[in-house]
Amino acid sequence: MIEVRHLSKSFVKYEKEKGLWGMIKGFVNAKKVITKAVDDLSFSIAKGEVIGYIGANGAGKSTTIKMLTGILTPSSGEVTVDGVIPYKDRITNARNIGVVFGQRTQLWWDLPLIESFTILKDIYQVSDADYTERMTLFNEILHINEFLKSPVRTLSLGQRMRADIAASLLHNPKILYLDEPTIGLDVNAKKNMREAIKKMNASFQTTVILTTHDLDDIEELCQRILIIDAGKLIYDGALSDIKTKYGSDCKVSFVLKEPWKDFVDLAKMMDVDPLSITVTLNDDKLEIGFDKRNLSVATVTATIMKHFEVSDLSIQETDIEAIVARIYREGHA
Amino acid sequence: MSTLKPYWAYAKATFTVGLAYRLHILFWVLSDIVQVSVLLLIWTAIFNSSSASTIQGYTLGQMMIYNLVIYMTGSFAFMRPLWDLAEDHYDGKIAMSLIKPTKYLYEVFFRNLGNNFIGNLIISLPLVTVLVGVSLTMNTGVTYTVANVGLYVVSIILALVISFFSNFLFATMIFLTDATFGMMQLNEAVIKIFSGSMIPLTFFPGWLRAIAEILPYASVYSVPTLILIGRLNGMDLWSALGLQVAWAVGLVIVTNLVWNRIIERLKVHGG
Ligand SMILES: Nc1ncnc2c1ncn2[C@@H]1O[C@H](COP(=O)(O)OP(=O)(O)OP(=O)(O)O)[C@@H](O)[C@H]1O
Ligand SMILES: [Mg+2]
Repeated sequence: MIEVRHLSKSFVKYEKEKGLWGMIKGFVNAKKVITKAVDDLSFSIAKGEVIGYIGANGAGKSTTIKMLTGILTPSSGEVTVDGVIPYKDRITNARNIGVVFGQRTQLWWDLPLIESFTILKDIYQVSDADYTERMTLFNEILHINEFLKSPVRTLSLGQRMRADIAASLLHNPKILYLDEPTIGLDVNAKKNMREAIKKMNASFQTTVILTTHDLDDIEELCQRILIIDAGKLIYDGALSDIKTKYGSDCKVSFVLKEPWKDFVDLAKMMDVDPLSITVTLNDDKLEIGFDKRNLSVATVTATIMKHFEVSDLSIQETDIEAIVARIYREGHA
Repeated sequence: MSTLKPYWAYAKATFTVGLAYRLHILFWVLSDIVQVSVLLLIWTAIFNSSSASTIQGYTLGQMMIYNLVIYMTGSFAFMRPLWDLAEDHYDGKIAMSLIKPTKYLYEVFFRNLGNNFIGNLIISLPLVTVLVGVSLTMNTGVTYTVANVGLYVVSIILALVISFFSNFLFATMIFLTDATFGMMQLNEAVIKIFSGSMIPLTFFPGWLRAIAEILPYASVYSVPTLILIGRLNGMDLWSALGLQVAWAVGLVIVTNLVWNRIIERLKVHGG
């Protein structure tokens, strides 16, 4: 469905120096700065997949989406979306895709919401029958009827986002691009949004590409993730793989009744390599980090309880959040 | 017609939005009435202080009619894609247009057409009634022939096209310079001076008049106006219409070419 080969995009910015004099100088010779927003990206996506596209701020996610949707022309490399080169044949591509940019809207701000739908119906030439059927479906999933008559500018963020998703799906696109669709939504609204995306994917086999900073979105929706860092693809694979690769890290925290007095060689007690565990102690708080493949939670707790009096304990498995933070930090997966 | 249907939706949208802003429209009409009245007062003062009954071939009555007609013409041919481009570019809204199965250039054309219809409803058509009323009740020294009215309609349609494309072409400089506000000011100033809407171009010194008559602004405002009030005849008439056609065709071609180049290099603001 989507093929991306050695895709790159550079932006040229002219940096002006500060102050009035800097601005005047800037007219004559501003410093040219080139940013490689996307750098030699290759991947392919099959029909019906739901892909999580993640990366730190400024990693190049939105720039990639803009090239896939035909908004930006790549500096080099190739993209085809359902056999169409998006930036060369915008109009054909536009009929195949639906796009939601979380911080923008495609609705007519000053008009009652329903008007946006009738305008889009004309723009995409949706038949009356399809229109009625889809509007009914959108209301079932996204509950938009309650504010269909309100001007868009009076909608809450969550309502507007639901409306925007519906708007992007009115022409039943083969591919749906969602750039931060849950930005600024409350817990419930996020849940509904994810439900909606799932249902659309299930009912229409819609291919979905989702960028987000909320990893719960990813866990709920995506079988496969792409991680991008400084414009480069650093991971492409199943979410479960990355979890088994990094998810075996575990941390057990204890609150001790009495502060730790003498040095105790925990590694020796548990019969493991001292380098394979991390021990931190803060007054009465003891934290032990380890890899579950070498050591079990049971052994760790049993050992500590045998030697100390413990008033409280908690176990933290590594969640996806921590894994991703680590990958962003290290710049590879 | 079915290929135009998506585009009419844009016209309908801006038309509906325009109507939603009734108060805005009221002020717009008021400011227009003030502007026209001031011009009429100035001309009355000029004619009263002069011993001649005609200035540059215009009697006071004819000058009044000239001002009303050029105002009506400007409103009939009103297109300001510059405003659309400035706004769409500034906050990156153009991204939402580029994902639609329609061409941005023509989306903006129809958006402007929607606004244009509102202008016609609240300014041009009332002005038509005023003109008809005045002509039937007073001797203004202007007679309208059926041929002139017919040619006026043709000339207005050409003016509409020229008005849109010349302004769009000018506006593409926003994408190259990012100097939105300056562009808008410059644009309005140039239109005011060279269109003949401040004073008829016959008042200009010969060389300036020659330049002004060749520029597209005269084709938008002055030419249809002079046709309707019967001041363009014979060869002058046909060459003015010919120039309009040349501008319309040339601008459509050049604007398409330029815009296609720009869209390739477009940087869309915001992420
Ligand atoms: N129009 C532009 N002109 C210049 N540089 C740009 C432009 N758009 C993006 N960039 C740069 O390209 C890089 C990638 O930006 P992009 O918006 O793709 O990041 P992102 O991954 O979507 O980040 P975020 O999570 O913050 O939305 C950034 O360094 C940004 O400054
Ligand atoms: Mg982004």
